[in-house]
Amino acid sequence: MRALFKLAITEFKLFLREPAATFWVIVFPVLWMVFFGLLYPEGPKEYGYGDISEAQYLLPGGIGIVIIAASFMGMTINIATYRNLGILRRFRVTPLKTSIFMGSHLLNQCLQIAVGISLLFMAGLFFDAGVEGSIPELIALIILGMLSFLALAFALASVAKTPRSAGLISMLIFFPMIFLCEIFIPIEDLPSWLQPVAEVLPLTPLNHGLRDVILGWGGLGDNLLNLGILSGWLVVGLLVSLKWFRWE
Amino acid sequence: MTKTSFIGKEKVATAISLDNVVKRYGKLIAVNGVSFDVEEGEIFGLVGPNGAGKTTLIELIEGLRLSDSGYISVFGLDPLKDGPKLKEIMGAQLQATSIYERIRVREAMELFASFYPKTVDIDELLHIFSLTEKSKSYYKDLSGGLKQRLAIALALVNDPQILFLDELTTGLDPRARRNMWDFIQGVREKGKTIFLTTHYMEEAERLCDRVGIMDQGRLIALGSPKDLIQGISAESKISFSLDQRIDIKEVEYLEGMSKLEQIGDKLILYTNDPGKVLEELVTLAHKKGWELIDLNMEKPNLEDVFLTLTGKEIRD
Repeated sequence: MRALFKLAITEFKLFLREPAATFWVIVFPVLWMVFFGLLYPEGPKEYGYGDISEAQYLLPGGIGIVIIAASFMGMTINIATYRNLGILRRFRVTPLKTSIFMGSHLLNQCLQIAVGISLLFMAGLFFDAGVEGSIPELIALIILGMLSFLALAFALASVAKTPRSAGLISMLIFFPMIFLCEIFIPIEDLPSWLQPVAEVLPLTPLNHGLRDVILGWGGLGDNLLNLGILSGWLVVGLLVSLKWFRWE
Repeated sequence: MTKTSFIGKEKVATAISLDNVVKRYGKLIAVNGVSFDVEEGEIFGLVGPNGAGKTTLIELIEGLRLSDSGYISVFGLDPLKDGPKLKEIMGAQLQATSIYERIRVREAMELFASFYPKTVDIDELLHIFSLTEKSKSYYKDLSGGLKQRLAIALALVNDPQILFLDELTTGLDPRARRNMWDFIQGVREKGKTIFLTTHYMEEAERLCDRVGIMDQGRLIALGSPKDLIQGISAESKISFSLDQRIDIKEVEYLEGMSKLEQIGDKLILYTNDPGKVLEELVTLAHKKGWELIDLNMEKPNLEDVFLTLTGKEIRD
Protein backbone atom coordinates (compact mmCIF):
# COMPACT_ATOMS: atom_id res chain seq x y z
CA MET A 1 0.00 0.00 0.00
CA ARG A 2 2.84 2.36 0.89
CA ALA A 3 4.42 1.69 -2.52
CA LEU A 4 1.12 2.39 -4.31
CA PHE A 5 0.72 5.89 -2.86
CA LYS A 6 4.41 6.75 -2.90
CA LEU A 7 4.73 5.85 -6.58
CA ALA A 8 1.49 7.69 -7.48
CA ILE A 9 2.61 10.85 -5.67
CA THR A 10 6.08 10.67 -7.21
CA GLU A 11 4.54 10.31 -10.66
CA PHE A 12 2.28 13.30 -9.99
CA LYS A 13 5.26 15.43 -8.96
CA LEU A 14 7.10 14.39 -12.13
CA PHE A 15 4.01 15.37 -14.13
CA LEU A 16 4.07 18.86 -12.60
CA ARG A 17 7.76 19.17 -13.53
CA GLU A 18 7.08 18.40 -17.19
CA PRO A 19 5.70 21.49 -18.99
CA ALA A 20 4.68 19.59 -22.13
CA ALA A 21 2.55 17.25 -20.05
CA THR A 22 0.96 19.90 -17.87
CA PHE A 23 -0.13 22.04 -20.81
CA TRP A 24 -2.91 19.75 -22.04
CA VAL A 25 -4.21 18.77 -18.62
CA ILE A 26 -3.78 21.96 -16.57
CA VAL A 27 -3.51 24.94 -18.93
CA PHE A 28 -5.61 23.85 -21.88
CA PRO A 29 -8.97 23.39 -20.06
CA VAL A 30 -8.84 26.93 -18.73
CA LEU A 31 -7.90 28.33 -22.14
CA TRP A 32 -10.75 26.34 -23.71
CA MET A 33 -13.31 27.86 -21.36
CA VAL A 34 -11.96 31.40 -21.53
CA PHE A 35 -11.65 31.28 -25.31
CA PHE A 36 -15.20 30.18 -25.98
CA GLY A 37 -16.56 32.31 -23.15
CA LEU A 38 -15.07 35.44 -24.68
CA LEU A 39 -15.91 34.39 -28.25
CA TYR A 40 -19.62 34.18 -27.41
CA PRO A 41 -20.20 36.78 -24.71
CA GLU A 42 -24.01 36.95 -25.25
CA GLY A 43 -24.78 34.71 -22.28
CA PRO A 44 -27.41 31.95 -22.08
CA LYS A 45 -29.84 31.55 -24.92
CA GLU A 46 -32.50 29.12 -26.11
CA TYR A 47 -30.60 25.96 -27.11
CA GLY A 48 -32.46 22.74 -27.62
CA TYR A 49 -34.37 22.17 -24.43
CA GLY A 50 -33.51 25.26 -22.39
CA ASP A 51 -31.39 28.32 -21.79
CA ILE A 52 -27.70 27.46 -21.97
CA SER A 53 -24.56 29.42 -22.71
CA GLU A 54 -22.12 28.54 -25.46
CA ALA A 55 -19.45 27.86 -22.85
CA GLN A 56 -21.73 25.42 -21.09
CA TYR A 57 -22.43 23.67 -24.39
CA LEU A 58 -18.68 23.18 -24.83
CA LEU A 59 -18.03 21.93 -21.28
CA PRO A 60 -18.44 18.20 -22.11
CA GLY A 61 -15.94 18.50 -24.96
CA GLY A 62 -13.44 20.14 -22.60
CA ILE A 63 -13.82 17.27 -20.12
CA GLY A 64 -13.29 14.77 -22.93
CA ILE A 65 -10.11 16.47 -24.07
CA VAL A 66 -8.66 16.51 -20.53
CA ILE A 67 -9.35 12.79 -20.17
CA ILE A 68 -7.89 11.91 -23.57
CA ALA A 69 -4.83 14.11 -23.02
CA ALA A 70 -4.04 12.63 -19.61
CA SER A 71 -4.47 9.08 -20.84
CA PHE A 72 -3.18 8.89 -24.41
CA MET A 73 -0.77 11.82 -24.40
CA GLY A 74 0.27 11.36 -20.77
CA MET A 75 0.20 7.79 -19.58
CA THR A 76 0.87 5.96 -22.86
CA ILE A 77 3.92 8.01 -23.72
CA ASN A 78 5.22 7.94 -20.12
CA ILE A 79 5.11 4.19 -19.78
CA ALA A 80 6.60 3.59 -23.23
CA THR A 81 9.40 6.04 -22.39
CA TYR A 82 10.05 4.46 -19.00
CA ARG A 83 10.33 1.09 -20.63
CA ASN A 84 12.73 2.43 -23.24
CA LEU A 85 14.98 4.10 -20.64
CA GLY A 86 15.14 0.89 -18.61
CA ILE A 87 13.28 2.43 -15.67
CA LEU A 88 10.77 -0.43 -15.66
CA ARG A 89 13.68 -2.90 -15.78
CA ARG A 90 15.10 -1.32 -12.63
CA PHE A 91 11.73 -1.77 -10.89
CA ARG A 92 11.75 -5.43 -11.85
CA VAL A 93 14.64 -6.20 -9.52
CA THR A 94 12.62 -4.80 -6.61
CA PRO A 95 9.60 -6.48 -5.01
CA LEU A 96 7.24 -3.97 -6.72
CA LYS A 97 4.29 -5.91 -8.16
CA THR A 98 2.82 -5.26 -11.62
CA SER A 99 -0.60 -4.64 -10.09
CA ILE A 100 0.79 -1.98 -7.73
CA PHE A 101 2.67 -0.37 -10.60
CA MET A 102 -0.47 -0.24 -12.76
CA GLY A 103 -2.59 0.94 -9.83
CA SER A 104 -0.28 3.80 -8.98
CA HIS A 105 -0.23 5.03 -12.57
CA LEU A 106 -4.00 4.89 -12.62
CA LEU A 107 -4.17 6.82 -9.37
CA ASN A 108 -1.76 9.46 -10.64
CA GLN A 109 -3.72 9.98 -13.86
CA CYS A 110 -7.02 10.17 -11.95
CA LEU A 111 -5.50 12.88 -9.80
CA GLN A 112 -4.35 14.77 -12.90
CA ILE A 113 -7.76 14.48 -14.53
CA ALA A 114 -9.49 15.61 -11.33
CA VAL A 115 -7.29 18.72 -11.23
CA GLY A 116 -7.87 19.43 -14.94
CA ILE A 117 -11.63 19.05 -14.74
CA SER A 118 -11.86 21.12 -11.55
CA LEU A 119 -9.99 23.96 -13.26
CA LEU A 120 -12.33 23.66 -16.24
CA PHE A 121 -15.39 24.01 -14.01
CA MET A 122 -13.87 26.89 -12.06
CA ALA A 123 -13.19 28.76 -15.31
CA GLY A 124 -16.72 27.86 -16.41
CA LEU A 125 -18.19 29.70 -13.41
CA PHE A 126 -17.26 32.99 -15.08
CA PHE A 127 -19.26 32.16 -18.19
CA ASP A 128 -22.50 30.71 -16.81
CA ALA A 129 -21.26 27.20 -17.54
CA GLY A 130 -22.67 25.13 -14.68
CA VAL A 131 -24.25 21.70 -14.38
CA GLU A 132 -28.03 21.36 -14.88
CA GLY A 133 -28.34 17.66 -14.08
CA SER A 134 -27.29 15.51 -11.10
CA ILE A 135 -23.74 16.07 -9.79
CA PRO A 136 -23.31 12.49 -8.44
CA GLU A 137 -24.36 11.18 -11.87
CA LEU A 138 -21.82 13.49 -13.50
CA ILE A 139 -19.05 12.27 -11.20
CA ALA A 140 -19.98 8.63 -11.80
CA LEU A 141 -19.88 9.19 -15.56
CA ILE A 142 -16.53 10.97 -15.41
CA ILE A 143 -15.07 8.12 -13.36
CA LEU A 144 -16.30 5.50 -15.82
CA GLY A 145 -15.01 7.50 -18.79
CA MET A 146 -11.69 8.06 -17.11
CA LEU A 147 -11.20 4.36 -16.29
CA SER A 148 -12.10 3.31 -19.85
CA PHE A 149 -9.66 5.74 -21.40
CA LEU A 150 -6.88 4.92 -18.94
CA ALA A 151 -7.32 1.18 -19.53
CA LEU A 152 -7.09 1.77 -23.29
CA ALA A 153 -4.06 4.01 -22.85
CA PHE A 154 -2.31 1.39 -20.70
CA ALA A 155 -3.17 -1.22 -23.32
CA LEU A 156 -1.61 0.94 -26.00
CA ALA A 157 1.51 1.44 -23.86
CA SER A 158 1.67 -2.35 -23.47
CA VAL A 159 1.63 -3.10 -27.19
CA ALA A 160 3.62 -0.12 -28.54
CA LYS A 161 7.22 -1.12 -29.18
CA THR A 162 8.95 2.26 -28.78
CA PRO A 163 8.10 5.68 -27.32
CA ARG A 164 8.03 7.02 -30.89
CA SER A 165 5.43 4.56 -32.05
CA ALA A 166 3.44 5.12 -28.83
CA GLY A 167 3.50 8.87 -29.46
CA LEU A 168 2.51 8.47 -33.08
CA ILE A 169 -0.39 6.12 -32.33
CA SER A 170 -1.53 8.44 -29.53
CA MET A 171 -1.67 11.32 -32.01
CA LEU A 172 -3.56 9.12 -34.45
CA ILE A 173 -6.11 8.47 -31.73
CA PHE A 174 -6.25 11.95 -30.20
CA PHE A 175 -6.96 14.09 -33.26
CA PRO A 176 -9.42 11.91 -35.18
CA MET A 177 -11.43 11.34 -31.99
CA ILE A 178 -11.67 15.06 -31.35
CA PHE A 179 -13.06 15.63 -34.83
CA LEU A 180 -15.22 12.51 -35.08
CA CYS A 181 -16.79 12.44 -31.65
CA GLU A 182 -18.96 15.50 -31.73
CA ILE A 183 -16.69 17.89 -29.92
CA PHE A 184 -16.54 20.25 -32.91
CA ILE A 185 -18.67 18.62 -35.61
CA PRO A 186 -22.11 17.00 -35.08
CA ILE A 187 -22.07 13.33 -36.06
CA GLU A 188 -24.94 13.92 -38.52
CA ASP A 189 -22.61 16.15 -40.56
CA LEU A 190 -20.05 13.37 -41.06
CA PRO A 191 -20.13 11.20 -44.22
CA SER A 192 -22.67 8.44 -43.65
CA TRP A 193 -20.07 5.63 -43.77
CA LEU A 194 -18.12 7.31 -40.95
CA GLN A 195 -21.08 7.76 -38.64
CA PRO A 196 -21.24 4.20 -37.26
CA VAL A 197 -17.47 4.32 -36.58
CA ALA A 198 -17.85 7.59 -34.73
CA GLU A 199 -20.73 6.18 -32.67
CA VAL A 200 -18.61 3.41 -31.10
CA LEU A 201 -15.38 5.33 -30.52
CA PRO A 202 -15.20 5.76 -26.74
CA LEU A 203 -15.26 9.55 -26.82
CA THR A 204 -18.71 9.69 -28.45
CA PRO A 205 -20.66 7.85 -25.72
CA LEU A 206 -18.75 9.78 -23.06
CA ASN A 207 -19.47 13.08 -24.77
CA HIS A 208 -23.17 12.27 -25.25
CA GLY A 209 -23.59 11.21 -21.64
CA LEU A 210 -21.76 14.26 -20.33
CA ARG A 211 -23.85 16.57 -22.52
CA ASP A 212 -27.12 15.07 -21.27
CA VAL A 213 -26.14 15.44 -17.63
CA ILE A 214 -24.47 18.85 -17.86
CA LEU A 215 -27.15 20.46 -20.03
CA GLY A 216 -29.97 18.75 -18.20
CA TRP A 217 -31.19 16.90 -21.29
CA GLY A 218 -31.28 13.56 -19.48
CA GLY A 219 -29.76 11.32 -16.81
CA LEU A 220 -27.66 8.15 -16.77
CA GLY A 221 -30.87 6.14 -17.17
CA ASP A 222 -31.23 7.62 -20.65
CA ASN A 223 -27.64 6.66 -21.51
CA LEU A 224 -27.51 2.92 -20.85
CA LEU A 225 -26.18 2.16 -24.32
CA ASN A 226 -23.46 4.79 -23.90
CA LEU A 227 -22.51 3.37 -20.49
CA GLY A 228 -22.41 -0.08 -22.07
CA ILE A 229 -20.05 1.00 -24.85
CA LEU A 230 -17.73 2.71 -22.34
CA SER A 231 -17.71 -0.37 -20.11
CA GLY A 232 -16.93 -2.50 -23.16
CA TRP A 233 -13.86 -0.39 -23.92
CA LEU A 234 -12.82 -0.62 -20.28
CA VAL A 235 -12.88 -4.43 -20.45
CA VAL A 236 -10.98 -4.46 -23.77
CA GLY A 237 -8.32 -2.13 -22.34
CA LEU A 238 -7.87 -4.21 -19.18
CA LEU A 239 -7.65 -7.51 -21.05
CA VAL A 240 -5.07 -6.22 -23.51
CA SER A 241 -3.02 -4.63 -20.69
CA LEU A 242 -2.99 -7.76 -18.57
CA LYS A 243 -2.09 -9.97 -21.53
CA TRP A 244 0.53 -7.83 -23.26
CA PHE A 245 2.16 -5.59 -20.67
CA ARG A 246 5.96 -5.99 -20.67
CA TRP A 247 8.56 -4.57 -18.30
CA GLU A 248 11.22 -4.48 -21.02
CA MET B 1 18.13 -24.74 2.20
CA THR B 2 21.56 -23.13 2.40
CA LYS B 3 24.63 -25.17 1.64
CA THR B 4 27.72 -24.80 3.80
CA SER B 5 31.33 -25.53 3.13
CA PHE B 6 34.48 -25.36 5.22
CA ILE B 7 37.32 -23.07 4.42
CA GLY B 8 40.10 -23.46 6.94
CA LYS B 9 38.31 -23.84 10.26
CA GLU B 10 35.63 -21.30 9.50
CA LYS B 11 32.18 -22.40 8.43
CA VAL B 12 31.00 -20.32 5.48
CA ALA B 13 27.53 -20.30 3.98
CA THR B 14 27.01 -20.47 0.24
CA ALA B 15 25.46 -17.30 -1.16
CA ILE B 16 25.08 -18.36 -4.78
CA SER B 17 25.20 -21.81 -6.22
CA LEU B 18 25.22 -22.50 -9.96
CA ASP B 19 25.18 -25.91 -11.56
CA ASN B 20 25.48 -26.39 -15.31
CA VAL B 21 23.53 -23.24 -16.19
CA VAL B 22 22.70 -22.85 -19.89
CA LYS B 23 21.07 -19.93 -21.71
CA ARG B 24 20.54 -19.81 -25.47
CA TYR B 25 19.40 -17.00 -27.73
CA GLY B 26 18.42 -18.78 -30.90
CA LYS B 27 21.63 -20.41 -32.15
CA LEU B 28 23.89 -18.41 -29.86
CA ILE B 29 24.75 -20.08 -26.56
CA ALA B 30 25.23 -17.07 -24.28
CA VAL B 31 25.90 -19.11 -21.14
CA ASN B 32 27.22 -22.58 -21.76
CA GLY B 33 27.15 -24.96 -18.80
CA VAL B 34 28.50 -22.71 -16.05
CA SER B 35 28.92 -24.09 -12.51
CA PHE B 36 30.42 -22.46 -9.43
CA ASP B 37 29.61 -21.33 -5.89
CA VAL B 38 29.96 -17.91 -4.29
CA GLU B 39 30.49 -17.77 -0.55
CA GLU B 40 28.77 -15.43 1.83
CA GLY B 41 30.74 -12.25 2.50
CA GLU B 42 33.07 -12.42 -0.47
CA ILE B 43 33.44 -10.09 -3.42
CA PHE B 44 33.15 -12.31 -6.44
CA GLY B 45 33.90 -10.92 -9.89
CA LEU B 46 32.86 -12.25 -13.24
CA VAL B 47 35.39 -11.02 -15.79
CA GLY B 48 35.86 -11.40 -19.50
CA PRO B 49 35.52 -9.45 -22.73
CA ASN B 50 32.29 -7.87 -23.91
CA GLY B 51 29.93 -10.53 -25.19
CA ALA B 52 31.43 -13.28 -22.99
CA GLY B 53 28.05 -13.87 -21.30
CA LYS B 54 28.67 -12.03 -18.02
CA THR B 55 25.56 -9.86 -18.14
CA THR B 56 23.36 -12.74 -19.24
CA LEU B 57 24.62 -14.82 -16.32
CA ILE B 58 24.16 -12.08 -13.71
CA GLU B 59 20.63 -11.44 -15.03
CA LEU B 60 19.81 -15.15 -14.79
CA ILE B 61 20.90 -15.07 -11.15
CA GLU B 62 18.85 -11.90 -10.50
CA GLY B 63 15.79 -13.56 -11.99
CA LEU B 64 15.49 -11.10 -14.88
CA ARG B 65 15.91 -13.91 -17.40
CA LEU B 66 14.89 -17.52 -17.61
CA SER B 67 17.60 -20.15 -18.03
CA ASP B 68 17.19 -23.02 -20.50
CA SER B 69 18.61 -25.59 -18.11
CA GLY B 70 20.69 -25.97 -14.98
CA TYR B 71 20.31 -25.05 -11.33
CA ILE B 72 20.55 -21.58 -9.76
CA SER B 73 20.14 -20.83 -6.08
CA VAL B 74 20.69 -17.59 -4.15
CA PHE B 75 20.71 -18.10 -0.39
CA GLY B 76 18.66 -21.21 -1.02
CA LEU B 77 16.09 -19.35 -3.13
CA ASP B 78 15.17 -20.08 -6.74
CA PRO B 79 15.34 -16.73 -8.61
CA LEU B 80 12.15 -17.50 -10.52
CA LYS B 81 9.94 -19.45 -8.13
CA ASP B 82 10.98 -17.41 -5.08
CA GLY B 83 11.36 -14.15 -7.01
CA PRO B 84 9.48 -11.86 -4.62
CA LYS B 85 11.32 -13.26 -1.60
CA LEU B 86 14.72 -13.04 -3.28
CA LYS B 87 14.09 -9.46 -4.37
CA GLU B 88 13.60 -8.48 -0.74
CA ILE B 89 17.08 -9.68 0.24
CA MET B 90 19.00 -8.55 -2.85
CA GLY B 91 20.08 -5.22 -4.28
CA ALA B 92 21.01 -4.69 -7.91
CA GLN B 93 22.62 -2.13 -10.14
CA LEU B 94 21.85 -2.95 -13.75
CA GLN B 95 23.40 -2.10 -17.06
CA ALA B 96 21.36 -0.03 -19.54
CA THR B 97 18.95 1.26 -16.97
CA SER B 98 17.97 4.61 -15.55
CA ILE B 99 15.51 6.31 -13.23
CA TYR B 100 13.19 9.25 -13.84
CA GLU B 101 15.02 12.26 -15.27
CA ARG B 102 13.34 14.82 -13.04
CA ILE B 103 13.31 12.91 -9.78
CA ARG B 104 15.41 14.36 -6.96
CA VAL B 105 18.05 12.15 -5.36
CA ARG B 106 16.30 11.93 -2.02
CA GLU B 107 12.90 11.34 -3.64
CA ALA B 108 14.37 8.41 -5.56
CA MET B 109 15.69 6.93 -2.32
CA GLU B 110 12.30 7.35 -0.62
CA LEU B 111 10.48 5.85 -3.59
CA PHE B 112 12.65 2.74 -3.68
CA ALA B 113 12.46 2.43 0.10
CA SER B 114 8.66 2.27 -0.16
CA PHE B 115 8.95 -0.96 -2.17
CA TYR B 116 10.50 -2.90 0.74
CA PRO B 117 9.20 -4.02 4.11
CA LYS B 118 12.57 -3.36 5.79
CA THR B 119 14.85 -0.42 4.97
CA VAL B 120 17.89 1.40 6.29
CA ASP B 121 18.09 5.07 7.24
CA ILE B 122 18.08 7.07 4.01
CA ASP B 123 20.04 10.05 5.32
CA GLU B 124 22.78 7.77 6.57
CA LEU B 125 22.98 6.03 3.19
CA LEU B 126 23.16 9.39 1.38
CA HIS B 127 25.91 10.40 3.77
CA ILE B 128 27.93 7.21 3.21
CA PHE B 129 27.88 7.76 -0.55
CA SER B 130 28.59 11.50 -0.21
CA LEU B 131 25.25 12.35 -1.80
CA THR B 132 23.85 14.48 1.01
CA GLU B 133 24.68 17.73 -0.75
CA LYS B 134 23.07 16.46 -3.95
CA SER B 135 19.91 15.20 -2.29
CA LYS B 136 17.80 17.88 -3.97
CA SER B 137 19.38 17.57 -7.43
CA TYR B 138 17.51 16.08 -10.36
CA TYR B 139 18.81 12.72 -11.54
CA LYS B 140 19.43 14.11 -15.04
CA ASP B 141 21.79 16.76 -13.66
CA LEU B 142 24.14 14.27 -11.92
CA SER B 143 27.53 13.34 -13.39
CA GLY B 144 28.16 9.76 -14.48
CA GLY B 145 30.03 9.00 -11.27
CA LEU B 146 27.26 10.41 -9.08
CA LYS B 147 24.61 8.48 -11.02
CA GLN B 148 26.51 5.26 -10.34
CA ARG B 149 26.90 6.14 -6.67
CA LEU B 150 23.17 6.72 -6.48
CA ALA B 151 22.64 3.39 -8.25
CA ILE B 152 24.54 1.61 -5.45
CA ALA B 153 22.79 3.61 -2.74
CA LEU B 154 19.40 2.64 -4.25
CA ALA B 155 20.48 -0.99 -4.38
CA LEU B 156 21.34 -0.85 -0.66
CA VAL B 157 18.16 0.83 0.54
CA ASN B 158 16.68 -2.51 1.69
CA ASP B 159 19.86 -3.55 3.54
CA PRO B 160 20.31 -6.55 1.19
CA GLN B 161 22.33 -9.66 1.96
CA ILE B 162 23.70 -9.70 -1.55
CA LEU B 163 24.55 -6.88 -3.93
CA PHE B 164 24.75 -7.34 -7.71
CA LEU B 165 26.82 -4.84 -9.71
CA ASP B 166 26.88 -5.12 -13.49
CA GLU B 167 29.71 -3.15 -15.14
CA LEU B 168 29.43 -0.53 -12.43
CA THR B 169 32.46 1.50 -13.43
CA THR B 170 32.15 1.34 -17.22
CA GLY B 171 32.32 4.83 -18.65
CA LEU B 172 33.73 6.40 -15.49
CA ASP B 173 37.02 8.28 -15.50
CA PRO B 174 39.91 6.64 -13.60
CA ARG B 175 39.45 8.83 -10.54
CA ALA B 176 35.74 8.15 -10.24
CA ARG B 177 36.48 4.46 -10.74
CA ARG B 178 38.97 4.33 -7.86
CA ASN B 179 36.52 6.28 -5.76
CA MET B 180 33.88 3.64 -6.52
CA TRP B 181 36.24 0.84 -5.45
CA ASP B 182 36.50 2.44 -2.01
CA PHE B 183 32.72 2.54 -1.71
CA ILE B 184 32.46 -1.13 -2.69
CA GLN B 185 35.12 -2.09 -0.12
CA GLY B 186 33.06 -0.18 2.44
CA VAL B 187 29.95 -2.16 1.55
CA ARG B 188 31.82 -5.43 1.93
CA GLU B 189 33.02 -4.43 5.37
CA LYS B 190 29.36 -4.40 6.38
CA GLY B 191 29.38 -8.15 5.73
CA LYS B 192 27.50 -8.16 2.46
CA THR B 193 28.19 -10.54 -0.39
CA ILE B 194 29.00 -8.74 -3.62
CA PHE B 195 28.69 -10.29 -7.05
CA LEU B 196 30.00 -8.08 -9.84
CA THR B 197 30.87 -8.18 -13.49
CA THR B 198 33.60 -6.13 -15.10
CA HIS B 199 35.73 -6.11 -18.20
CA TYR B 200 38.44 -4.15 -16.40
CA MET B 201 40.94 -6.75 -15.25
CA GLU B 202 42.64 -4.25 -12.98
CA GLU B 203 39.36 -3.66 -11.19
CA ALA B 204 38.81 -7.37 -10.64
CA GLU B 205 42.36 -7.78 -9.35
CA ARG B 206 42.06 -4.91 -6.87
CA LEU B 207 38.57 -5.62 -5.64
CA CYS B 208 37.70 -9.29 -5.84
CA ASP B 209 38.45 -12.11 -3.44
CA ARG B 210 37.81 -14.52 -6.27
CA VAL B 211 37.14 -14.14 -9.94
CA GLY B 212 35.57 -16.32 -12.58
CA ILE B 213 36.90 -15.69 -16.08
CA MET B 214 34.36 -16.12 -18.87
CA ASP B 215 34.91 -16.39 -22.58
CA GLN B 216 32.29 -17.23 -25.19
CA GLY B 217 29.74 -18.37 -22.64
CA ARG B 218 32.06 -20.67 -20.73
CA LEU B 219 33.79 -20.33 -17.40
CA ILE B 220 37.46 -20.87 -18.27
CA ALA B 221 39.09 -20.15 -14.91
CA LEU B 222 38.07 -19.70 -11.29
CA GLY B 223 40.10 -18.64 -8.27
CA SER B 224 41.67 -15.74 -6.41
CA PRO B 225 43.46 -13.25 -8.69
CA LYS B 226 46.73 -14.16 -6.98
CA ASP B 227 46.36 -17.90 -7.53
CA LEU B 228 45.29 -17.42 -11.13
CA ILE B 229 48.28 -15.23 -11.87
CA GLN B 230 50.69 -17.63 -10.16
CA GLY B 231 49.04 -20.49 -12.01
CA ILE B 232 50.17 -19.28 -15.42
CA SER B 233 53.78 -18.98 -14.14
CA ALA B 234 54.30 -15.81 -16.12
CA GLU B 235 57.28 -13.70 -15.22
CA SER B 236 57.64 -10.08 -14.25
CA LYS B 237 59.01 -7.72 -16.88
CA ILE B 238 61.65 -5.09 -16.07
CA SER B 239 62.25 -2.68 -18.92
CA PHE B 240 64.69 0.23 -19.11
CA SER B 241 67.00 2.11 -21.40
CA LEU B 242 70.39 3.65 -20.67
CA ASP B 243 71.99 7.00 -21.36
CA GLN B 244 74.75 5.27 -23.32
CA ARG B 245 75.25 2.38 -25.70
CA ILE B 246 76.49 -0.76 -24.01
CA ASP B 247 77.27 -4.27 -25.01
CA ILE B 248 74.17 -6.28 -24.23
CA LYS B 249 76.38 -9.04 -22.80
CA GLU B 250 77.16 -6.82 -19.83
CA VAL B 251 73.70 -7.32 -18.36
CA GLU B 252 73.26 -10.92 -19.44
CA TYR B 253 74.42 -12.47 -16.20
CA LEU B 254 72.28 -10.69 -13.62
CA GLU B 255 71.28 -13.09 -10.88
CA GLY B 256 67.67 -14.32 -11.05
CA MET B 257 67.07 -13.22 -14.62
CA SER B 258 65.73 -15.80 -17.03
CA LYS B 259 65.55 -13.99 -20.36
CA LEU B 260 66.76 -10.80 -21.99
CA GLU B 261 65.24 -8.97 -24.93
CA GLN B 262 66.29 -5.88 -26.81
CA ILE B 263 63.81 -3.73 -28.69
CA GLY B 264 65.51 -0.66 -30.13
CA ASP B 265 67.06 1.22 -27.22
CA LYS B 266 64.98 -0.64 -24.76
CA LEU B 267 66.14 -3.65 -22.78
CA ILE B 268 63.63 -6.04 -21.22
CA LEU B 269 64.49 -8.50 -18.47
CA TYR B 270 62.21 -11.39 -17.53
CA THR B 271 62.33 -12.81 -14.01
CA ASN B 272 60.48 -14.59 -11.25
CA ASP B 273 62.30 -12.53 -8.66
CA PRO B 274 61.92 -8.91 -9.73
CA GLY B 275 63.16 -7.50 -6.40
CA LYS B 276 66.46 -9.31 -6.64
CA VAL B 277 67.02 -8.50 -10.31
CA LEU B 278 66.18 -4.84 -9.77
CA GLU B 279 68.69 -4.64 -6.96
CA GLU B 280 71.39 -6.29 -9.11
CA LEU B 281 70.62 -4.00 -12.00
CA VAL B 282 70.86 -0.83 -9.93
CA THR B 283 74.13 -1.97 -8.37
CA LEU B 284 75.59 -2.82 -11.77
CA ALA B 285 74.52 0.49 -13.26
CA HIS B 286 76.07 2.34 -10.38
CA LYS B 287 79.34 0.46 -10.73
CA LYS B 288 79.52 1.09 -14.47
CA GLY B 289 78.39 4.69 -14.28
CA TRP B 290 75.21 4.20 -16.40
CA GLU B 291 72.12 6.24 -15.90
CA LEU B 292 68.87 4.25 -15.96
CA ILE B 293 66.14 5.91 -17.99
CA ASP B 294 62.47 4.87 -18.17
CA LEU B 295 62.85 2.11 -15.62
CA ASN B 296 59.61 0.20 -15.45
CA MET B 297 58.46 -2.98 -13.79
CA GLU B 298 55.36 -4.92 -14.80
CA LYS B 299 54.08 -7.82 -12.79
CA PRO B 300 51.94 -10.42 -14.57
CA ASN B 301 48.24 -9.64 -14.15
CA LEU B 302 44.83 -11.03 -14.98
CA GLU B 303 45.17 -9.78 -18.55
CA ASP B 304 48.11 -12.16 -18.92
CA VAL B 305 45.99 -14.94 -17.44
CA PHE B 306 43.33 -14.32 -20.07
CA LEU B 307 45.95 -14.13 -22.80
CA THR B 308 47.54 -17.40 -21.69
CA LEU B 309 44.21 -19.22 -21.46
CA THR B 310 42.63 -18.00 -24.69
CA GLY B 311 45.55 -16.85 -26.80
CA LYS B 312 43.92 -13.46 -27.32
CA GLU B 313 43.93 -10.03 -25.73
CA ILE B 314 40.92 -9.16 -23.58
CA ARG B 315 40.38 -5.86 -25.36
CA ASP B 316 39.02 -6.11 -28.84
